[in-house]
Amino acid sequence: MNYFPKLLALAISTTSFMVSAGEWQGPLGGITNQVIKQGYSVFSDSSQQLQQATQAFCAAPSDQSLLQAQTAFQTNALDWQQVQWLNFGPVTYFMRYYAFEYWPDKKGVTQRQLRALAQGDPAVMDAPKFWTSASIAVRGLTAVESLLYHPDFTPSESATQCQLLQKVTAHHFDSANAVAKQWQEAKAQDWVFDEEGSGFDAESVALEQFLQQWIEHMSAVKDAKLETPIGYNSRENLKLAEFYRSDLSLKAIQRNLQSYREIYHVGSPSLYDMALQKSPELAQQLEEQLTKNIKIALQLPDDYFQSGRTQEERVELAIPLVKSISNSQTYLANLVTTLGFQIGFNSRDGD
Amino acid sequence: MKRFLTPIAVCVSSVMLTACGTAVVKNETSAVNAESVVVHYADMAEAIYSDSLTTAQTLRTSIDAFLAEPTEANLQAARTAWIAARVPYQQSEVYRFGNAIVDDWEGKVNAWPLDEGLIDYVSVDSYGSESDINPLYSANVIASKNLMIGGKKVDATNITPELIAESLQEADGIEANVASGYHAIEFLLWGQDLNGTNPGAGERPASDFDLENCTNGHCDRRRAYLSAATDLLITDLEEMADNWKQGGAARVALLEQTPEQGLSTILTGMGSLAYGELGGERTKLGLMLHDPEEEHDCFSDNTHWSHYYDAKGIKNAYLGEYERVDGSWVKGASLSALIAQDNLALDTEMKQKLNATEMAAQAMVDAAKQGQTFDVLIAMNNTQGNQLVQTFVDSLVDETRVTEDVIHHLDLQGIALEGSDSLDNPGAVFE
Repeated sequence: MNYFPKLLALAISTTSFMVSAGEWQGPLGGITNQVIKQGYSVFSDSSQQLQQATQAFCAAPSDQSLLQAQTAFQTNALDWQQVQWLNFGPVTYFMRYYAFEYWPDKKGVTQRQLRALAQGDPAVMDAPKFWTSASIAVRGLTAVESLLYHPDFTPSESATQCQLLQKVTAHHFDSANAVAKQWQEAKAQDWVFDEEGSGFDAESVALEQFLQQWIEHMSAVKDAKLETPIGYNSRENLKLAEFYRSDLSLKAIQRNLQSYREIYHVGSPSLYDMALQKSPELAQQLEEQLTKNIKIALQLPDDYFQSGRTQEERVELAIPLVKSISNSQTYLANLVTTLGFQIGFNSRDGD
Repeated sequence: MKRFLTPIAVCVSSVMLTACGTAVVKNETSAVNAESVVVHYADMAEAIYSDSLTTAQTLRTSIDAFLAEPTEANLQAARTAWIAARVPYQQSEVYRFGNAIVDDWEGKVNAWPLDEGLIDYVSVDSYGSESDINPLYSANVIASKNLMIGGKKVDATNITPELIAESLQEADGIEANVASGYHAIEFLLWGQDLNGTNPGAGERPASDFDLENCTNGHCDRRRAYLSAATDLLITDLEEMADNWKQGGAARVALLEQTPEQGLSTILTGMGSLAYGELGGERTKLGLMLHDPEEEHDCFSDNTHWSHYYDAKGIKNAYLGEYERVDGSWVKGASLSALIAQDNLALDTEMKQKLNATEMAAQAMVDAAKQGQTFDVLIAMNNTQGNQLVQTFVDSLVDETRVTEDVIHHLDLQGIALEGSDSLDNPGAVFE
């Protein structure tokens, strides 16, 4: 996923504290096993169902089978939202993270490249390593959404487009399955590396990266997913909303916010438990704010991102959620610091 | 996105800061101080923008000659003048990011990428006919005397610099509506590159500007657009060249800061251009998408030189030297000399990294001479080409890491370097 045009990755801050071995095992293990491994397992399963649904659709195109493929797509796209916050570990290989979802695609790269693939020799797509080295714009959910919803594509009438759809969903499942399998066989510490060779606590570094990714993603949800498309601070452009064609923009945000509470509470002890020990008030503030985020997001009307209301109305409705997520960002950043992690800079801020 | 560095407690010696006064040091062997480095950086900017202006004026002369006699030879001469004009301008890009005046202005002259269908005819097969984001995606101003922009009717009967600057540039608030600057002119001189990731640049015929033998229609308006866009480029460059003269706004804004803030400005430009802009947005993203639209000079296939001179500009800023288009040199107090005074190893390392980047850029230039232009290099399955581009990205990342060391060494506060989505975890991309 490419969703934020300016995301930093040059260097990761270093932990400024020494911890005893195993101190972070509870939250790290909880997040790894119950959020990441489970999340990718579910995502992989629904990727397979999407592949099967597109196969069935192309075998017998009809309104009914198209609808089934679209439904499978929606399920899969929302399962992705559960793990979207983390660009770490197996998903970073072969550009999988960006390939699962290439968004926002402001230049229509996905459609242009899909058109080229559909018009070209289909045998090219069967070449070894084609899909792992193909453009990130055509390898995942953004491409599938275009093929299933974009008016330029009519796979029910075009065998070549349907063939393309099947190949994309097959690759997408392969990727999701590979990530899920790699996680099943690994632990988070396996995916952090001592680049300086000076020794480090893999457990704390892994958790630090989780926390950093969480903070960054929270910022992205508020800015890129909510504020930007509705024109909270500038001009409205609803087509900049995530998965707007399939009308998943609001549901995606809701899923993201739900995943945050899971991150906070899984494990024994959980981050929440450890935060209570260190700073009870702050721990509780974050807990309440994360809960509030979900409540407010769920109260937004189902057609929130659809046309039919004015920009002013939409912004008015968004204000409580924007404020709530902003508060969450502050509490989370403070809590992370209180726990002794050093998150040195702001990143996915969309600036 | 900006990254805020956490400074470490290594201070520049206060003795060193006061030792040399305000004089510009022209001899590299002399002691330099922060102030002299910043003043010389401004002097270099004056020279670079002055060269950018004169080469744009030469471009104007070539375009005038071409429009007077629209032959293929004259079109080629205009294209050559455009490529020459890019040489100083690309070296000026290191002045972006750190200098707000430059950054605010830059979009008028070098905005990229553009939805060229705003300006002129395009091939629907490759370009498509509409965009989710941009209602003016295929507006084709050259073919349309009336436009609807943001719900308002715009009279485009006369294509003038004012029309381009005030109504078309970033029309409807959309960045891809690039109507002015080098790339708009590039599109008019070359046309779309319809070769995808195969060799070959745009092949617009000279007759597109020939009133007596007009191809693709509206030659009078195409001529008017080319003239107006070139005049506008010159006006914009005049503004920036003036900004760096004695008493100019950019120079004053730079020198009103403390010398340390001035150093921060220099290093912000170096790091942001190297990492987020050149390494990320202009190069790495092209590799990730394998898309010819992702090359900076996508109509002319001049990207290898543009990247080379961007990198050169970063090196210039560090070394305090710039070779003018007439072959003369501007040399003076440099960051390099400043660092070398008390950390020779760091200065040596920085220079090594800058040289490595230059070599990586030169390798792309050499490849282009063999027909492997940037759009060919980033093609899927061009393993060697991809690696050549990746080496350039890696060298820019390495360079930026040492730039950070320089920032830390100087104990500079609150520097924010532009990042890039596409550079996240670069080591894992081509496993």
